[in-house]
Amino acid sequence: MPHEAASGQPRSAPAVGPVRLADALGVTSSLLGAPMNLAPRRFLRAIGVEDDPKAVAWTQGVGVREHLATINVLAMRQRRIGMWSRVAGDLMDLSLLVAAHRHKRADAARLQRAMAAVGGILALDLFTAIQLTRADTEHRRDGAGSSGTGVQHEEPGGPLHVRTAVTIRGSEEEVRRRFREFEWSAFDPAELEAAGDVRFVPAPGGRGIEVHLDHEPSVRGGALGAAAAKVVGQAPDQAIHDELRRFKALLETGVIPRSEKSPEGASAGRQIKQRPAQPVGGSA
Amino acid sequence: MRATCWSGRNTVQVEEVPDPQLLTSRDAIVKISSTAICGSDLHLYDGYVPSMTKGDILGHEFMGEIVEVGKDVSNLKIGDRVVVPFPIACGGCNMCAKGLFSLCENSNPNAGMAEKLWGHAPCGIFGYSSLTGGYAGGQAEFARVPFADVGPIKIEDDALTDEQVLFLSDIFPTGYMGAELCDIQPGDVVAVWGAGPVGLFAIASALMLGAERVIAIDRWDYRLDKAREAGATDLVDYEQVEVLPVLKELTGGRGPDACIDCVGLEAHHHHGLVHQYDRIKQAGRLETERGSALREAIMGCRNGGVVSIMGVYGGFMDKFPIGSVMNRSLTIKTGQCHVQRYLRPLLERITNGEIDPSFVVSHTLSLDDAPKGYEMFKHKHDNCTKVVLKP
Repeated sequence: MPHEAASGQPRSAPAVGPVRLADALGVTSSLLGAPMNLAPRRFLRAIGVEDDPKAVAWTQGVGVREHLATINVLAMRQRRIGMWSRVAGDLMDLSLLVAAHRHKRADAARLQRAMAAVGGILALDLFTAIQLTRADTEHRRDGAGSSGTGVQHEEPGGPLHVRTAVTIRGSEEEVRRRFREFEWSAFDPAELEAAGDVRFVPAPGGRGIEVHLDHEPSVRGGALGAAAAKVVGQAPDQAIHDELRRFKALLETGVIPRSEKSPEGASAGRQIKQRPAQPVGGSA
Repeated sequence: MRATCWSGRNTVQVEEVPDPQLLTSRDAIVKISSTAICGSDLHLYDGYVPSMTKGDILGHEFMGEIVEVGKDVSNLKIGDRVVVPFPIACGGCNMCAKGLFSLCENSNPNAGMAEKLWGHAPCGIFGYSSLTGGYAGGQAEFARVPFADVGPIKIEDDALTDEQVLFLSDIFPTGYMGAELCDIQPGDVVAVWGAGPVGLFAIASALMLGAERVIAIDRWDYRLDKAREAGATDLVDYEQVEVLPVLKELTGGRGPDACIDCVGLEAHHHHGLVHQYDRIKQAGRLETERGSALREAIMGCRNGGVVSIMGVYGGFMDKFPIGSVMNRSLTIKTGQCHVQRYLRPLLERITNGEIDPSFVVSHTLSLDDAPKGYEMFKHKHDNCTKVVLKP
């Protein structure tokens, strides 16, 4: 049933069916993991694999993973993450069974039935994961987790999506003008304003202007490129946060504060790789 | 120039480093005449503050002479004698406008790092790890002072010695703020945990603000003697007696009206086993604070009283007696000192002769002897209360 967001916009309800299916599959993980840990040899014989020590060790490892999968699915508010982990686990199980079929086969018919069963589970996991991902995407698009002022309560869409805000002590006119003049590296301020991705809202209590940004910068290499850039503090979303701090400081103080460890001013990259707090060259 | 550099846990070295230069138009360079080792420097020295880098220049209590100013520093000129407050504050943000200078929103370039640990970031601080901005400290021959038009106070009375005004940089205002937060009323009894330099100033300040009695709690005789000198009316050696029953007895069963924790994250517990338990947990990073002083301050405070925390804490504490706080309507007040707010009124008190802060100094050493000073202060050798270094 649709319910009302704080802003008064109707939005879609979270997908109840796939969530219940995910919970059931999550519980099944532990039910499957129990015999793997309690009676690994009997389990191996049941699926037609030789019960040598190496196979037993693998079985027990997979058993532990099954219990973790249960926790991963049931404890996560966003079930899709646990379900995609299950899909990865199913693929691992299938490859283990294929390897066992080649090297440790005790009963071919039983092994093939086990592979078919894992294949079936994989299909079910994949279906559920896709359903949950779709539902979550729709839920976010409808504004779930946002209050009337646009404050973010739930992770946004892409890996670099930035929804953030900063309060600047100044007039709206000045903040807007300086926003257009500031040299942003991650976006064009005029384009951002035209797209409605930046909003200027008076802060309560006469504390200045809140600058709200809702922007997804592009990055080379997609999610993988973004993750790599993040490790060294060079991702565009990190640049936005750094530049917002510098922008605020410049407006409120007239300078960009610099320390000996961070001589460039706020910089995620510098925070990852700090120099000692000793004097550096510069000019005033 | 020579500077005291952190070079790993329990080690500092005086090294040759480049001279500071102006990095912004609101900077000034100070030639340091006196600098001091703070109790909170020992937390860095002992390795309990994360995000230190080998080579970091330490020190956040210093004063000296202005030798260079940026073009936007109009209130200071070359040759001015100044004391520099330890919090770096811009003067232009909402927090500075409220007088909450240690919460300046602009002076910490590493705010993103601090936000991960604390939710929001405090101001930048000289010589106090990356978390508080990564600024070079003042245990050196020179220091760069950002936002020099907001922080430093000019000392115009040449009759005042460095030792009389140096502690305006931190420990005097910190102790004073600890007492001020207690909202002391006539007749109040205040208990102070820790008779180190901040504790001594908290004791003196509580009396200046109208407390009728001040109880000092420590385990070192010489520090309790200093507490008496600062004006404490009652002394409690926590290794000799159980603190909580004694506090009840001293206050007619009520408990002190206000309790000030001037100890922080490296507290000692009177019971050796309990102390070792906390030490092991802290060493294993299972908790970041040894909180026996704060726990006792909370448990000891009278119903509806105030607990003021001026000792430094960095992270998370186990066994925090929140039940006592809630059920007994206690008020907890705390914060890094907003030094800029107190500079003028406290300088006036010094000038008027109400207090001579130099009474806390026990040792004056050359800057080159900083490693010796740290060891001496840490281990309380030679009745060490406060070490002043002369570059």
